[in-house]
Amino acid sequence: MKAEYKSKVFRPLVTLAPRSLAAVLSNSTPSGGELTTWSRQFFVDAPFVRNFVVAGAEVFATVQKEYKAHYPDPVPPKIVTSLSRMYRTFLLELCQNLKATGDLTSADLYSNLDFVWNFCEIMFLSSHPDFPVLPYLVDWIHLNFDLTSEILPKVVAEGSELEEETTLELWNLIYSHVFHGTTREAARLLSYLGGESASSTTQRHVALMEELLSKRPEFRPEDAASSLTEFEALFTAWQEECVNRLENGAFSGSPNFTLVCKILCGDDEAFASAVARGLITWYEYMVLLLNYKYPTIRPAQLKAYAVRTLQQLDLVDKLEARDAILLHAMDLDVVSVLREITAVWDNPWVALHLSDLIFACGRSSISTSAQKQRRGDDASFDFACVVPLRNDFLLEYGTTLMEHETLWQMGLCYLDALPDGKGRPVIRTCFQHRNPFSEQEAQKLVQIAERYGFGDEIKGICRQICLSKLKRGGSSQAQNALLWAIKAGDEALTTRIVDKILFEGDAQIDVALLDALLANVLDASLAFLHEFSIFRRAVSEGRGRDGVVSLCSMIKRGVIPKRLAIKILSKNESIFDDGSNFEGDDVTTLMEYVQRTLVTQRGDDYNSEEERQVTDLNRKLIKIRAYRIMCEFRRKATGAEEEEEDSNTEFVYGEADDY
Amino acid sequence: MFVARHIKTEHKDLIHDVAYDFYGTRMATCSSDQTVRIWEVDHATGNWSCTACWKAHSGSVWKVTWANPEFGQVLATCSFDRTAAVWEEVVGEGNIGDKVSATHWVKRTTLVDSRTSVTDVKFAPKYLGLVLAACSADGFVRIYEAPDVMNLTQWSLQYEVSAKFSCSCIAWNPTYPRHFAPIIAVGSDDTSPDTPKVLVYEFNENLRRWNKIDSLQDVTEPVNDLSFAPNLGRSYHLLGIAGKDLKVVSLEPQGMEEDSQGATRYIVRTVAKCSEHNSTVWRVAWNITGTILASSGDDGVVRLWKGNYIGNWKLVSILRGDGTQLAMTEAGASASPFGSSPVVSSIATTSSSTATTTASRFMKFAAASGVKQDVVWH
Repeated sequence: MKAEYKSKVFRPLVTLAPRSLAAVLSNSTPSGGELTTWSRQFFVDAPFVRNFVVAGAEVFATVQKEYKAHYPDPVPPKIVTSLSRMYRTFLLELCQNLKATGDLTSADLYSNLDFVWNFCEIMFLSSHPDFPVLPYLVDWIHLNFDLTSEILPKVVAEGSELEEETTLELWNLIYSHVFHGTTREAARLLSYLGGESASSTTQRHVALMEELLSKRPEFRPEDAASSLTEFEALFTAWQEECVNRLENGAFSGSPNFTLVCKILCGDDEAFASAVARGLITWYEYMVLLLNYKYPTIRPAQLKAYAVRTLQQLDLVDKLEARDAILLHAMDLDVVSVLREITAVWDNPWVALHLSDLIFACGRSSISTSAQKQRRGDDASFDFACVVPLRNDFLLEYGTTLMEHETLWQMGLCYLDALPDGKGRPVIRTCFQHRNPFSEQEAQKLVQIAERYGFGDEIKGICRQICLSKLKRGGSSQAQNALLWAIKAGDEALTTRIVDKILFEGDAQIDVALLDALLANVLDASLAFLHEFSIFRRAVSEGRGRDGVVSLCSMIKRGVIPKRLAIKILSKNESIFDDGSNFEGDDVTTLMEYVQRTLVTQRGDDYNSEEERQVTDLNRKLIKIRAYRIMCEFRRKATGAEEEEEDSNTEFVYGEADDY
Repeated sequence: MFVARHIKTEHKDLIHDVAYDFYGTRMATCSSDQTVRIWEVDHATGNWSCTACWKAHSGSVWKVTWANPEFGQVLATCSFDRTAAVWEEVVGEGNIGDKVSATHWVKRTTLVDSRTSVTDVKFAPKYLGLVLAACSADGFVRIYEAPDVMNLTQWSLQYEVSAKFSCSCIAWNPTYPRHFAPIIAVGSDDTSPDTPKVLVYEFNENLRRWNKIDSLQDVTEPVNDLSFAPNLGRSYHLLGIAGKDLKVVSLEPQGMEEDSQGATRYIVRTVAKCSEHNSTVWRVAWNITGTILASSGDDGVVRLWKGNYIGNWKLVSILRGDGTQLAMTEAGASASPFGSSPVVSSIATTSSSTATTTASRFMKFAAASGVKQDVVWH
C-alpha cells in the first residue's frame, strides 16, 4: 500500500484546452477538492467590437492583396498610409460608439490607441526619411487638439458684437491654431475680430496679421523632391518679414498681435508664454517649436527635439506609457513600440496590423546600417525584427480568432498571411479543434477543409459524425451515417454500415439516400452498393423489368455479398410477382444462383425463417419458369404473338400454379 | 482576459487528475475515492455541471484521459488496482447537438497485464488509430490497440517495452508524422541517483518495434509529468518536463541518420529551465498550438510560460487558486495603461485657460484604468 499512501500527498494539477485552463490547486478533504477553471473572454464579444474586428479583417485582406500585387516591390507608402487611415477610422468609430453608450473607459483606450497609431503611422509609414516630418505632425496635432468645432459656433452666434469672454475664447482658439501651425485657419478666425465694430487700429492689425499668417510657406510632402530648398528659402524670407513687421512696430499697442508675431518670428520667450495661453501638452509644445524654429527636421532627428521639449518643461521623470511609446517611435524602435502597445492592451490587434503595414511597406527590408549611414544619426533601426514579430502576432491573433465560436473563419485570413506556408499546420491544428457540434457545422468544416486539401480532417469530421449517428442507433440514423461514411471515404466503415442497414435492418434504403449514393459511390470497392442502389431504385419505382435486369447483372458479376443474398432476394420479392418481368435466361440465372449460393454453399446453416424464405423463393422461380414455358408454348401454337401477350398476363399465374 | 470559476468537485478523496476533452467542453476528474466524474460546460452561462459519476476502479484512480472524438466519447483510466480501463459513453436516440438526457458510461475493457499499479495512460495521436499507452510501476510501457473502433471491447497488447525503472508518467508526441516517426517519452519518479529519469522511444516502422533514442542525461531528478508540445512546423520537438523544476527540452532529429538499431539520431538540448515555482513542479500542459506551457507546482499556483519570437522562455502569467491572475508584462503593475490624465504628462504649469481645452478629444483620453493586462509579450 506504499503507493496508495503516497497518493495522500496533494499534487497541484493543470490542464489546458483551446479556450480555457483548469487546475486543482487546493485539495481539501473530505468535502472534495476545488477545481478552478479559467475561461478566456474574447474581446470580440464586447459591445461594438465585433464589427470593429470584422472591418479590421477586411482591411487586412486588402493589405495582403496589395502586398501580393506589388511583390517583390514594397507597397507604396501612399497606399499603405491610406490603409492605415482605414484602420484608424475603425478605431475612432468604435471609440465614438463606446462614448455614445457611456463606456468612457474603453473609449479612452481606443482614443489613445488611435493617437499613438497616428504618430507611428507618421514615423514608420508615411513620412520620408529624407524630408521634413513637420507637415505630418501638424496634421496629427490638429486632429487631436483642434477646438474649432467647440468655440467657433459660439463666436458665429454672437456676430460682430463679441462678448469679452467669447473674445478671450476666440483668441485662445487663434493662439492654438498658431501654435499648431495651422496659420491659415488662424487667419480666417482673425476676421471675427476685425469686423465693422472694431477700431481702425484693430482692423489694420488684423489685415497685417492675416497677410503674414496666410503667407506662411508650407512644405508639401507630395512635391517634396523639387521644393525643399525652395521651401527653406521661402520660410527664411517669410520669417524675416515677420521680424521686420515686429521691429517696425506694426502691432504696437496690441499685446495679442505682438505675441502672435513674436511666435511667428520663433521667439523663445514668446514660446514660454504660450504655456499660459492654453498650450498644455508637450506634444503641442514640440510641434510649436518645430513650426517656427526647426521646420525642416527629418523624422530621425525628432527625438532630440522631443527630449529638449521634455527637459524644458521638466517632464522627463513624469513620462506615461503613451509618451514612452512615442519616444520609442521617434527612435524608430519598432520592437519597443509594439511591446509597449501590447503591454498596455492585452490584444495584438494594433501591434499586428501596424507591424503588418510596416512589413507591407517594405521598411523592414531596408538595411539597418545603410539607413544609419544615409541619415547620419544614431537612431535605432531595428526593422529586421518586424518579420518575426509580425509572424508571432499573426499566429496569436489568428489562433485566438480561430477559437471563437462564430468568427473563427476570419482567423484563416490571418494565418494564411504567414509566410512560407507556415500558417497551414496551424490552421490544420486549430481546425481539428473545431467541434462539429451539428451537421450544418460539420458541412461547413468539410467545405473549408476541402479548400485547404485537409483530407485527413475531412475524413475525421465525417467519421465523427458518422460514428455519433451510428451509436445513437435507429435506421434513419444509420442511413444518414452511411452518407457520412461515404464522405469520409472509409471503406471499412461504409461496408459495416451497409451490412447494418441491409443485414441487420430490413434491407430498405430511403429514396433520398439512394440518390445520394448514386451520386457519390464511384469507388470500385463499393460497386455492390452502387448496383444495389440502382436495383432498389427500380424496385421502389415499380420498374420490375429493370429490377430483374439489375439483379441478374449483380449475380453475373458476383458482387452480392453471400451473407446478404437471401435478404436481398426475399426482401425484394415483389419483382417475382410478375412473370413478365423476366426474359431470356433471367430465370435460369436466378435459379442457378439460388441453388448455388443459398442451398449448396450454405448447407444446413439456416434458421427456420430463412428456410421458409428459400423454399418460397424456389417456388416462385419455378412458377415463373412454368409461365415462361407456357408463354413459349402458346406463342408457337397460335403463331399470333400479339394475342399471346395481350391475353397471357391475365391468367398466367393461376395456370402456372396448376402447372 | 480570463474569467475564473470554482467548482466543488464532491470527490470524497484527493483528486489525482483532471483532463479536458478535445474541444474543451467537457472535463473528467478522477480521485482516490475510486470514482471518475464527467463535467460539462453550459455554453450560455459558462458553468460546469457534473453529468456522470461512477466507481471506476477498486483503488485510487491516478489518471484519466480522453480519446480523440473521432473514436466517440471514450475515456481511459488507470489505477492502483493494477488495471487500466476503457470507458465509452452510450447515448440514447437523438440528433447531434440534441440534449440527450439518458447518457451513461460503459466499461468496454479492463487491461490487466500489469502486476503493479498502472501509473499513467495516454491515447496515441489519432493518425495511429485507437491506440493506448499505459505505464506501470513495474517498469513496463504497454501499447494496446483497438482494431475495430466500433467494438471497444477488443484490445490487443501490441508492444511491451521494458523501461527498467519505475514509470510515473508517459507522453506521446502529437506531431503528425510527415517527417517524424511516432515518439513516446516515459518519466520515472525513482529517487535513486544512477537511473535515468526520462527515456524517449521512437517507433521504427520497418522493424515494427520501439527503439530507445535518448535518456535525457540532463534530467537527474524524479519526474512527475511530461508533455510534448504540438509541433506546427518546427524542425524539432519540445518536451516539457515537471520535476524538481520545470524544464523544456528540444529534440532535433538529424535527418536520415540512424544508429545500428535503426533509430533516428537526435540532438537533445535543454532550452529552458524555470525554477520560479521554488518547489516541486507536478504537472505540465501545452496549449493546442504549442506556444504556451502551463505548469503547476507545490507553491499552489499555475504559471504560464511563453517562448518569445527569438526562442527565450518567459513567465507571462501566474494564476492563483483563488482565481486571481498576475500578469508579467512590464506595464502590468500600472493601474492605467496609457498613463494618468495627459494633463499630468504634459506641461506642469496650468492656467485658468486650460479650462477651455478640457473639451478637446485628447483631454478625454483620461485614464484607461479598466483595461486588463493579462498576457502576453512576445
